[in-house]
Amino acid sequence: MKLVEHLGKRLLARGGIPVPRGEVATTAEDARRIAEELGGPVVVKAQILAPGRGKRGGILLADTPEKAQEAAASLLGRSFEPETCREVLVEERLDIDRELYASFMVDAPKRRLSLILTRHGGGDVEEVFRERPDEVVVAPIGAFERFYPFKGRELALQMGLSGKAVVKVGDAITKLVAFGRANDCRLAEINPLVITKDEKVIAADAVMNVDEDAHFRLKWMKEFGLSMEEERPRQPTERELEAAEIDRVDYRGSVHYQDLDENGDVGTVTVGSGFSITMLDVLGNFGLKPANFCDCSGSPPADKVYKSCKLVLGIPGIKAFLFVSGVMTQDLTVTAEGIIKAWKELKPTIPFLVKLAGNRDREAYQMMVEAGLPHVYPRETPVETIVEDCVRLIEEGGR
Amino acid sequence: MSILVDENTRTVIQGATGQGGRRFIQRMIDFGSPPVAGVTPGKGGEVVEGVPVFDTVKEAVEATGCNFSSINVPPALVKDAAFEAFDAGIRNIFMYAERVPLHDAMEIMSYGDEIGATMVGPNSPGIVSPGKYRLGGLGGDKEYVAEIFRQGPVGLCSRSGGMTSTLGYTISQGGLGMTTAVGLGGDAIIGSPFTKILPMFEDDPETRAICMFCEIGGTMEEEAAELIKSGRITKPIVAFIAGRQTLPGFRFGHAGALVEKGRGTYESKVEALTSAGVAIAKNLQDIPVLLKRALGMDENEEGA
Repeated sequence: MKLVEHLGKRLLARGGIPVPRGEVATTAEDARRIAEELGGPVVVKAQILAPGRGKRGGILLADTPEKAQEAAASLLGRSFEPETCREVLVEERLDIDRELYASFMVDAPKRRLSLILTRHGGGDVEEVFRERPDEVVVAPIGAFERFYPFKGRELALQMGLSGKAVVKVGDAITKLVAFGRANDCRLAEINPLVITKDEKVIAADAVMNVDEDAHFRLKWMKEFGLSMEEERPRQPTERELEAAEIDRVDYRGSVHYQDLDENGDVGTVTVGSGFSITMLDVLGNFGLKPANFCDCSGSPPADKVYKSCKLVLGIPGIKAFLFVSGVMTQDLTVTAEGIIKAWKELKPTIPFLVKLAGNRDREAYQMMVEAGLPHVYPRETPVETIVEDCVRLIEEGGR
Repeated sequence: MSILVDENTRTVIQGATGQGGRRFIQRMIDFGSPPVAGVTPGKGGEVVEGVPVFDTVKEAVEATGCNFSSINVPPALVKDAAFEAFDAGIRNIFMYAERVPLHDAMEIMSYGDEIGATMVGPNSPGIVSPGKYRLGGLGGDKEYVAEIFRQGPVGLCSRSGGMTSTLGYTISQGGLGMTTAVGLGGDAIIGSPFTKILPMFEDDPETRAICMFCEIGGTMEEEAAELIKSGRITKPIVAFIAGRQTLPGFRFGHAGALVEKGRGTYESKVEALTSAGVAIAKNLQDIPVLLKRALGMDENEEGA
């Protein structure tokens, strides 16, 4: 679960890491009021997740409340593909002396934690990673290793800092480790970690990826109104929202739906997540463009299967419909029931191809053949053969 | 032989009395490989499907000599259950639950590695050594499982749960069979990534070829390629990599750039595995064909 900057900063502040004074605004007037209250020059920052925000014009400086209002007005509602800016963070502008970089992350392959630190923070930090690896400190932390404050100071020294900065940055590093552990962070990145002219160390940005699977011990998720919902790379489409609703009203089984290509040839419902991803590749191998992704698995009731079929059959412009499963453990006669209902009720005029494989698939096959479905395949048929048939049916313009 | 589970495995089910645990036990009995014990704190003395239930793993070990723990508790409780099994001296654990917190998985695997334990999961559907032992419900009802997982010379390991059965069936239908099929688990930190499972298949005398189901994301396949190149794995391998048509989401933050170094994509995995001598199947149907070729068999030949 990725957190927008202002939520990440609220959490950091609770972890004892100082952040700039500021507040979130959803209207330009609000932004003006906040700037007035802060007094002095401010920064107005689009609250979006996509990277490269600064370079894409998502961070604006404003010297007066009027300018802050203008800046907010220009950001709010603006599209930052694939997102749209709905909130801005209005913050005091820091008097920056230096910009550092500090991140905490889970190093999954090594089954431990890792700190990445450099004194060359800011927008070009990836260039520093590439060009000057000797100026990047990577410090592994064992899963059970105690992280004492002296360790933070040692690392600050390794970053090339000196004097008071060693103490203050060392303290921030120690707190970052404790913070990342306490909040189940996959990643907690501060870039830049600012040292101000009056020698304060302040987190000027916060990039947090928190493990939503730990929701039961992250009490603040509820407070911030966050749930375990799936992440999407962009705003959901109408059909995606409808699919989420189909999934929500019945807890049995799950529907994962995504629109893929507006000009897609085929609408698909697939069973099994790994299998669903595999099917996209197989369709591509035969030159077909899938219009959507719809994984309907985990023993869903017939009604959920029916609704998923209905949703996919409603995609405009598709030339065929495919319902294919991997070899599944769920009772496929229930799945077949849902497919048959969709077929009978919607009387599709495009080719409608179905293959179910796995538990009780022979009974499911019989049910669908008896119901008069035109293209039902037994378990033995390779998915490649079905896709070939699909291509042929589309070319022939048949059903 | 086979890996992980065989006729000598004595399994204890942690979380035996819940709905999921009961179903798991039924599936194992159905296959003819019943667990020897169950554990549910507070329910010691109960019996589930003929399996005695204990309050602690320690008691179960003392009473039944169980040597393999299947952890079937909800995700929030998996860490505690795993450490209880380790503490009771069990060195083989399997974790079924989805959505185990990443930091918990990190602690379990880090400690398990330290004490030399073998771990599978979390988020794994199970393990089956055809003809010998089934942990969990892979393959479904009894009359289906023998058709889906035939006995034979292939070691099958899959990052996707559902694809374990799908590939098992593809291999069986193609006229081959398996020593062991294992769902590795779909999470970022799992007990046995490819780098741990491949050496087990390499050291198993009955396994003569290996099939890997790979997915984009993470660097598990690239690390496997390094291991193969080192000479530790000499048996022929066929891999299918899913996700070629899937667009990756945008990267969040900068740290990933330093860690991944361009790895994790479909292209990177194909390149790494190909350069290690692994045959890549483009379609599912190519898998048995490539496996037979690797085994020096005729395309229409059965068995081996």
